[in-house]
Amino acid sequence: MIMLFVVFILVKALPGDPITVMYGEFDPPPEVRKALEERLGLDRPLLVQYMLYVMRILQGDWGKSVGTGEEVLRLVLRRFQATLELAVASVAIATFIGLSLALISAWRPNSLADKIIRIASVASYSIPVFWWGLMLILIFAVYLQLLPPGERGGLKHLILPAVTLGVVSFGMIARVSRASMLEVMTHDYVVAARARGLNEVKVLLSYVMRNAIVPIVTIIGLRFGVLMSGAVITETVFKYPGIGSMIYDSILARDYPVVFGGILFVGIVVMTVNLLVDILYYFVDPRVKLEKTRV
Amino acid sequence: MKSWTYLKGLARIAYTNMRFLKALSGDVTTLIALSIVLGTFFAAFITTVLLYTEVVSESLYAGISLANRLQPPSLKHPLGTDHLGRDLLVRIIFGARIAILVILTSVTIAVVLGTTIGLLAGYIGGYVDLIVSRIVDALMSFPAVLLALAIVTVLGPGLESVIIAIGIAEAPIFARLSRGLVAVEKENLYVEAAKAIGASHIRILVKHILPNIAGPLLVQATFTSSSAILWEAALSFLGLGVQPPTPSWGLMMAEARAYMRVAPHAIVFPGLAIFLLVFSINTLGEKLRDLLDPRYRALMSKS
Repeated sequence: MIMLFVVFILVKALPGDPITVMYGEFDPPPEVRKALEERLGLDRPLLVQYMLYVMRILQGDWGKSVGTGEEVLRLVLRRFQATLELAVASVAIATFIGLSLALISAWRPNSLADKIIRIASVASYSIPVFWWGLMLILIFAVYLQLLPPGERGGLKHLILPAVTLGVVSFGMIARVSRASMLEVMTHDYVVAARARGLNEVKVLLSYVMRNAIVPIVTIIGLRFGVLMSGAVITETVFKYPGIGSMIYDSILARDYPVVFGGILFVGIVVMTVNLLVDILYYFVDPRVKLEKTRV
Repeated sequence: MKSWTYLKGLARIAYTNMRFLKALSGDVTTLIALSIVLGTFFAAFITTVLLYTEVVSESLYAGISLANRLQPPSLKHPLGTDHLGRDLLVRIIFGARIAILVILTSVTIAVVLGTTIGLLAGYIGGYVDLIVSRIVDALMSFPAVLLALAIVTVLGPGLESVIIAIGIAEAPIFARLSRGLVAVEKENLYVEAAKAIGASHIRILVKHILPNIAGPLLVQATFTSSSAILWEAALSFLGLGVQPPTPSWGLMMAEARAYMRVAPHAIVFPGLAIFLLVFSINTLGEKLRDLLDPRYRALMSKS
């Protein structure tokens, strides 16, 4: 029910007169416009139009590509596999780097290592994604010739784009995790555990980490949305055939059904991930009561 | 008597500002960041003045000299030249204009649009608040860049579209933030007092509540500025933003991309410029947040 409402709002949020879009630069003659309006149901009240659109989307009718005539939904799903691989790989990289750095940082706050890590974290989310991608191509593909500069095919092709996105995303994860861990560390049970002589690794991993996990999971979930946006640019730089490069190519080709289909799909995916994160709370932290988790 | 209180108020403002500046200049990173941001503003200002007074003409950064194309950094061209023989340093300095223009305009759009909606929703409450909050939630869960892409697609490429797109895409954050702040703030006694002496709703909102919630909004505006630069660069890089020959850092990289193998400097330096500016703004934003966060301030004054 919430999903349906969100889709409804989304469709509303995407402006543009379909007939003008169909005709591109030219203005169609009035009688043609009228006929088209009737055929597409554009003369009906707005609310009815939106309901019909929502129905069509729900039934899987996302329209056809203007360029190739392919069903948009099929095209989107095919491209999405590639993007999903990229997203999962870079989330994994970002989480690994982010959590490790946060642990080191929180272990001895205000130490030199902590200061360097904090600067590195801010640097991480200050990097222009496309520039970073091009730099990695320059170093690893052009000069060292270790990795392919782009396109898809096997693990080797995934490394550069995934590292590009991972490095751009770890900073926010590291920052939030550090803050969350520091907050947890002030609690008595951590002090008690240390006083009992438990070794530091065990204190950090099983006492601090477990209790600091909720904000961390939230930020990783939220970063997923940013990541999907970053994927649009990263995929373009690496000519990686995911949903991002599809949206970009379609903007250039003025293939609007594909553009909006792609955007809508990514939006739905991101919202689903956000929803999953909310549900996940319940499992990672039994303290969270379900009625407290507001979307 | 009256002038005395006025003077005391002035002294107080000066004092708090001094503490503020002192805290800002506390560490080296912040100081460097501050000078980079001020330097960029200065570059944007000077280049704009020079262009308007016609001391220099557009040919300084747009003049083509094919004999000098793709030169590596040298004494004559400290950062080298691009594929049309234009000096990169000059173009990067003039590129600051676009960066600053985008910050000032798009962030203003986002702040004004978002804060107005948020203020009203939070102040009125009830059904209005409920409906507005749902819409804002829906927009927030939708990646801002995709929203921006959708807007640019509809409006067509160009600097104006990019500014409008970023402004609209970033507005929901301000709406949610200000809505939450107002909802808490309006319960305060001073609001009731203002109501009791017959102040109008608009007066209460603008004169009483807004100044009290300005801090967090300012911090958010700082972070929004840095993401605005990143997205302008990205959209220009994709060819959807600033059009040639105007130098924008993102566009410069797009142009240099084809010559990446022979002239890497043409792509390294504009990217470095973006990175440094965004990094500096983010660093200042973090500092600002620490300073304005009451919990942090309480901690500082105790020690």
